[in-house]
Amino acid sequence: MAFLNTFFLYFLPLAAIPLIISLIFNMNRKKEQFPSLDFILNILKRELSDKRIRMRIRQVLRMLVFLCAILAFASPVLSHGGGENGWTVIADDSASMSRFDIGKVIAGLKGQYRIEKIYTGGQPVTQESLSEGGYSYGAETDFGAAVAGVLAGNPARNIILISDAQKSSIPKEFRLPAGVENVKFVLLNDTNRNLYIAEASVYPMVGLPGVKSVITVKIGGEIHPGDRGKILVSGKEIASEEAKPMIQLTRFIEGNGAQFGEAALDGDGFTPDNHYYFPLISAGVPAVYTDIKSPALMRVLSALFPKYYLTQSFQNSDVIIAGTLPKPVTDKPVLLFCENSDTFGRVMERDLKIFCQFSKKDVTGDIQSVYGVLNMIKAFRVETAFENIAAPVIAKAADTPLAYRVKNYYLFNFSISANEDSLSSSVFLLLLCNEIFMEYYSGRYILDGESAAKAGVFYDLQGNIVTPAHPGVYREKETGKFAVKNLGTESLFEFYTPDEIKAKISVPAEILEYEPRTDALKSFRWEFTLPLMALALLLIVVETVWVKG
Amino acid sequence: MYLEKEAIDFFRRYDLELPATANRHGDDPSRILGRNLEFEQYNLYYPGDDIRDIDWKVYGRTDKLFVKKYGSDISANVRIIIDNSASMGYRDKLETAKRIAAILAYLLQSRKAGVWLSTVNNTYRDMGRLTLGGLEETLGRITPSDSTSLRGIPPARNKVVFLISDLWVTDLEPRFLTENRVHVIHLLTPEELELRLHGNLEMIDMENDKRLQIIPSTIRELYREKLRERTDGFRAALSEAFLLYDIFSTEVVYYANLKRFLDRLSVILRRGKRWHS
Repeated sequence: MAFLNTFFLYFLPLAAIPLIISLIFNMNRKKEQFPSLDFILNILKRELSDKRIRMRIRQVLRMLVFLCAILAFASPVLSHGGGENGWTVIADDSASMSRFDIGKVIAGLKGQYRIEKIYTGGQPVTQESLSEGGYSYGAETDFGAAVAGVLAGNPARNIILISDAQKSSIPKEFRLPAGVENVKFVLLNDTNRNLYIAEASVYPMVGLPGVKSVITVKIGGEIHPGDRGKILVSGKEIASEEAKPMIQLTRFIEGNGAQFGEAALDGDGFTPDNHYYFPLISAGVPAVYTDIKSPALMRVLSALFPKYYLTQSFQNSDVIIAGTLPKPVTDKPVLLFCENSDTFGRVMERDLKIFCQFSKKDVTGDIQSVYGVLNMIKAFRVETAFENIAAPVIAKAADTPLAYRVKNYYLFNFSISANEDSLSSSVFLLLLCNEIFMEYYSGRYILDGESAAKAGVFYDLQGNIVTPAHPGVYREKETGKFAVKNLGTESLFEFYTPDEIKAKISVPAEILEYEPRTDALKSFRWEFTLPLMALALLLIVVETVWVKG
Repeated sequence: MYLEKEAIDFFRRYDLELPATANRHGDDPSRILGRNLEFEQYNLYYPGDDIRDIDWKVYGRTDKLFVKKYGSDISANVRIIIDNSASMGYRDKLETAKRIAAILAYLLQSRKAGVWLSTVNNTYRDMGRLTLGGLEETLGRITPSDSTSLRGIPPARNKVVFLISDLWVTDLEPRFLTENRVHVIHLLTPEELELRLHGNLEMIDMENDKRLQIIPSTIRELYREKLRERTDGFRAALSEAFLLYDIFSTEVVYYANLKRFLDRLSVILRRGKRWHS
């Protein structure tokens, strides 16, 4: 005998409630003088003793009612596979199985069956390793072949198959070898609404004093009421919203340096698709290193950063402002000052090749004029958070810096009065570097298996060496460059129904139900629960009739 | 004050017909024997007679003891026995009993009856003749104590006897009351009549300290039924013996109860029933 819902066994002491109530009742009795106790004792002698016995029996009945109810909720089952015959578990290892916690499922099975061996696909594993994430998915496998392979090498009479019954990984017919007597099929079916986060982004940069950032999360799939989207910044939840195709929030987000946001979806669907990582570019109060000494530059800085401080070391700076791009720059924003397109082009060529191509192609000649800026903006296919900005607007943008996004770069342009100094009418590019990070970051499947292998060793943000298999933020060991892996795809699979599965397997199989939200087998099975409930009900009736009697 | 003005006023409003106190066939009130100066007759001496009344001269002549009987001013002799056992202390039952005794004595005396008072718990105690002057003081001396035993009550001889009691006597047979010619005022509180008590109680007997843990509501119906059986038994037995039995609930004002009691008594007497055999 085993219990599926052992949690309820903690409530067993509650069965003593009638007894405790009776004890408390007895302790709290009131003393009352009465003149005629002899009369009561003599005349009601028989009745009193009868009543006392009835009271005791009622107490026992009530305790039994509690006991039955608690045991019914604990859902007892006969422990299958006692004695010599243990069970062999074979779990499907196809990609679609990644959305289930197989370790948890097997832990649930262990409560009911004596499990001897566990295989995922054709490989033997332990339940502990499964619980610790030692289960690799992603392969397109044939579950039927895997089962046949396992049973060929390790014949078993009792087998438990675990699969989501995805059509692409289940063969038309399961031919189980002779000798297999009992088959249980744990059907890990869920509603498969294909929920996923398609995209998440923040604009403008976070940490700008007085400037709110707009966080946008796009959700795909079939959204149901109750699904929630959460947004986290550096692991801290800043918002939890009812899921809808597009969640847009406006928030003040503080922070310095490179940060990462995470959008997570509570609901159905593939777990890897339900997490999405995105960079947060921070302004904050930056430490600025510059090799340009100019009052005009100070104005630019003041316009950019209401608060900043200058530092002598560019290694320790948050922002570098330079006429030429310093080589050691890795992941720092650089405010690049270019007096003409040649310089700009050279910088681009040297450090950011993609940009350089554009600049060579489209940006030539003098870019000192506003038209030059506009051309450059056009050349880089400037996307703004606002509407496209017409030339006159840019020309007027003397006092307020305007930020444009060029792909994932931020461009600030200033039109400074011509008479001030040599910096006038120059173009400043704020290359929000974290630059390599930006280069990699372009949406989904940034790190597929191949590129990850090429990229070499990666760390997670805690410094552990990992393989960037799951969505997350990684850092390359050699270069220290950031890499983000997101999936965010709509997963469309077709699954067999329980009846279809039964029809496929050559040996009669029992389908075990599964609870998708908790990754556990169904907590209630009626084989003992129902009789216990009925017994509890019967006891209540007997107890009530007894009272009336 | 046991003799209350309201009670007197209450009975004043009614034209109360008290039983004729000497209506034995051929009786005349003047034949009620007492202690006036008029010699009435000789009677053979019986233990209990006052030895002062023995006529020694007649004894010398006849060698038999005779007692002299005198005429009386009173029309009847009435004895009121109050049960003063500990159980009568419950919810001031004894106080009610005293008030009943007081107004009864007043009414009887106003009709020239002689009223004697006794108490009984586990012993019988004669408190002598009750006069209006000494009524308050005499009743004031009665306090509840000991257990109830009516055994000491003497047979009524030439007296009408009223017993005011809760009758919580184990194994009390109605025969005892009929043999002693006792009219009974059964005084009970609503708690005793209905077992109107609530909650989980440890009930303690007021007379013998016995204890019983019980939820009264669980036995209420049974209790009522058994009590009804008991009181019906008393009523039937006493009625058969031409005696009156009535339950006085302390919930009802005592003089209203008493009026009903006296009315019934009159009815019995009008039908030719006797006060005493």
